[in-house]
Amino acid sequence: MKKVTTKQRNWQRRQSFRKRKRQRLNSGKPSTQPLTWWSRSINAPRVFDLRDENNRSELLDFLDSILQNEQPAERLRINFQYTERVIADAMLLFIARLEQAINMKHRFATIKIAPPKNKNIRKQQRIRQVLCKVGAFSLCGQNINIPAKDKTVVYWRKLSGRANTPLDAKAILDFLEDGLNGKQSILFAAVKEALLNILHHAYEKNTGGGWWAFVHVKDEERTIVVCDLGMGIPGSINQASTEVQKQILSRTSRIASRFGREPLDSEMIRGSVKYGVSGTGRAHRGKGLPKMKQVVDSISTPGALLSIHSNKGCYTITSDQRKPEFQDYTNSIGGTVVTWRIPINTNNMVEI
Amino acid sequence: MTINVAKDYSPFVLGRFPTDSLYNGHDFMEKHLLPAIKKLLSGDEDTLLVDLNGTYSPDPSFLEEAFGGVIRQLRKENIDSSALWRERIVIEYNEAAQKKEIMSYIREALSAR
Repeated sequence: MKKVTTKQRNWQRRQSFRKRKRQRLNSGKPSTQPLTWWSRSINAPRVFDLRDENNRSELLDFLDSILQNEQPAERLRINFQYTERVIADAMLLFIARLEQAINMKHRFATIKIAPPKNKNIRKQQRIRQVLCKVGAFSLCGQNINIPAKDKTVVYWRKLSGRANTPLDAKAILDFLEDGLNGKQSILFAAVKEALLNILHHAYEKNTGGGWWAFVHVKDEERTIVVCDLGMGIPGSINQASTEVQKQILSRTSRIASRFGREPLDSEMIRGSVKYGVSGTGRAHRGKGLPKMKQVVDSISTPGALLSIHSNKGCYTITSDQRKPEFQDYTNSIGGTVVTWRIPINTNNMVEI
Repeated sequence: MTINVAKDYSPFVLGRFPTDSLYNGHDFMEKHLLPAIKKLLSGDEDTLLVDLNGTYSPDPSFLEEAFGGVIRQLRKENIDSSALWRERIVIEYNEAAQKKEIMSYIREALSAR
């Protein structure tokens, strides 16, 4: 029997598809699947990164484009074919925005993720594994299971919740899976404070909203990333009483007021981290942000990091360089993303 | 009299108020700490030991609302508890840094007006 070549097989498939299409059109029956399935297809950027200005702009334009649907009940396809590298904080922001879009059921009939197709290219393999590990496929209702084998992917976990729902401390501890003594875990206490910050300050009262967190647990290093899509640290300070606002503005933006400009977002973040004044304005509140910084300050070994992206501002401090760095970008991320990286070993069980 | 937070209340404490979590500082203060301090004041008990060993990293919000909050609550009832904290209440916790933190919350609450 003559062997069918690949070219012949593909031609036969196309013929078969055209025949079925003609039959469906002629039958007058409603189609179970539209001939053009996707209303819109958008490409994810090559690099998911918040730190570099160009990468950040491209990422934020992509995230904004998810919600720019032109028709109701849109079928959206997000294509990751060209994505090569993802940084945790940027990926968490994407997951948060994706979940927000999916919850807008009146706007989207369906959102699907198209992973990179080439399983033989390592970068694309890694992206496929990341998308599965962070739950992007399951959020979109896709039954795609790609086991995480890459060492940069396998140790990540995700947790999420709503800002108007009480937290479950045991679930957070399980999520952190602190293989060391959890009872004295600096990270556990700091993560709880970060999530409490979101519950108290991220969203306007009674509006709700979500929070998302990644944790990377490997050997003697822990990385936590926490994200919300609220008003940001600058927004929550502006919402506070006049006295509180003046207190932060007077302490952190003397230069700004001298030149007659508004305080920058990075200055607001610095003020909150340094002085710990909460949006409520009460002296015994607002322990969260200073505590985060104190954890990094108290670590003697290099490798610890605290990075806070909020709206247009960014504040970073590391245990290598004790002096914090500030940067303001063109585009706002529309929320807050906090990243801690902490080396933990039994000789360096840091006291808070 | 002893209050073992982990056994009498919960080892998984978190936050200030019920909106933060089920086992929070305000709830612990109202159900355990405040009644115990009132027993001290009425003379039913001599000393109070608050044992935090066994809890999983009580966060600063929980600690401040429990210990600072009870002082603020007593002040609302026109009760000055500074002598009690000096002489008759002991905090037991193996974590020296967090114990120091609790003492700072107590001092701040006592000195606030």
